[in-house]
Amino acid sequence: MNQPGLRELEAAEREHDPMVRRLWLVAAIQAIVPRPIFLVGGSAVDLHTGSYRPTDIDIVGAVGSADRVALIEVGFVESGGHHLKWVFSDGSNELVEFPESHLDGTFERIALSEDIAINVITVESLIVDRINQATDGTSVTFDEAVRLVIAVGDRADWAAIAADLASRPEAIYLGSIRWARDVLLGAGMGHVGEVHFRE
Amino acid sequence: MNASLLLYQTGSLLRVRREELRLTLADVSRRSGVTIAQLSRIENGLVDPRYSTLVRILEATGGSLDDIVVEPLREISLSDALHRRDIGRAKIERSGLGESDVGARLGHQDRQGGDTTAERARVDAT
Repeated sequence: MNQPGLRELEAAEREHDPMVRRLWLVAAIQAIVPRPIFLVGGSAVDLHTGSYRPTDIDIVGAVGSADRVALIEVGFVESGGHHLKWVFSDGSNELVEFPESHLDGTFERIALSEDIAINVITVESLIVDRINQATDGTSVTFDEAVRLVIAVGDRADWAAIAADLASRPEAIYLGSIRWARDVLLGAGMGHVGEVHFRE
Repeated sequence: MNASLLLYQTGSLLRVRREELRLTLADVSRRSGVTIAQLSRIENGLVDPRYSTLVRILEATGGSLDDIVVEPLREISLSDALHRRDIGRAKIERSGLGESDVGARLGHQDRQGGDTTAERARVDAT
C-alpha cells in the first residue's frame, strides 16, 4: 500500500464519473513521476465543457523512460502511438500520452482530496492553445475553440489571454488575434473582441 | 508548497523572461558563465540551483530576484470543478451545439499525420 500511486489508482477504480476517474489517474502518475506534471488538451477542455469526450489524457512534463518503466510496474501497459493504457476492472480503459516536456502557459490546482491536488492548465492558456489550433483554418478546430469560449467566455481573464497572444512571435500573434476575433464572434462574444483584441 | 513545483515555477519565470528578451540559452550562457545544459535544467525545474547561480542568470538578463517571485497558485476543489463543468455544459447545450464530434477530431488528427490507432480502438470499444 506504500507504493506511490496505488492509493490514487484505487480512488480512480472506485470512481464512476469518467472525468473524475481521469483526474485520479493524473494524480497517480503525479505520485509516481518525481517532477511536476500538468493536465492539458482535451481532458482539460472537458473539465470546462463537459461535452468534449476526450479520447486520451494528455500530460505535459519531464517524463522520461525511467518514469514510463515505473508506470508500467504499477500496471500501465504500452498501447501504440506513444500511449500508455490503464485498464479498469470493469474493462473500460484510459489512454495517456506525454506530448511535451513543459507547459506552454499557466496552471491552477484542483484538490481531489485534503492532501492530493493535481496541476491543470488554466482556462486562459487553454483558450490560447485552442485559438492557435484554429489558425489551421479547419472547421473542426474552429468549432472546438468556439465551444470552449461559449462555456467559459464570461469568466475567463481576456486581458491575460490577449497579453499571452501578444507575447508570442509576430506571425502567430497576428494570425491568432484575427482568429480570436472570429472565434469570439462565432461564440456570440464579439463585445469581448472589441475590448481586448485590437491589431 | 511542493518543492519540485516551486523549482518548476521558478525555472518557468526564468525561461519566460529570457524569451521575452529574445535571448537564446547560448546568449545567457555566455553572459552568465552557466553552461547551456545547466541553464536548460534550471529552466525546466529539474535541478535546485545555488542562490549565486540564480543571481548570475538574473544579472545576465538585467533582472533581479523580484522577477522570479512565484505568485500564489489558484486552487479549487473538485466539487467546484464539477460545478464549473456543469455550467459550461449547460451553456453549450443552450447554444444549440451538441457534444464534440470525436470522429471529426480523429479524422483531423489523421490528416495532420498523427497516429490515432490506439484512440480509435478505444472509441470503438466504448
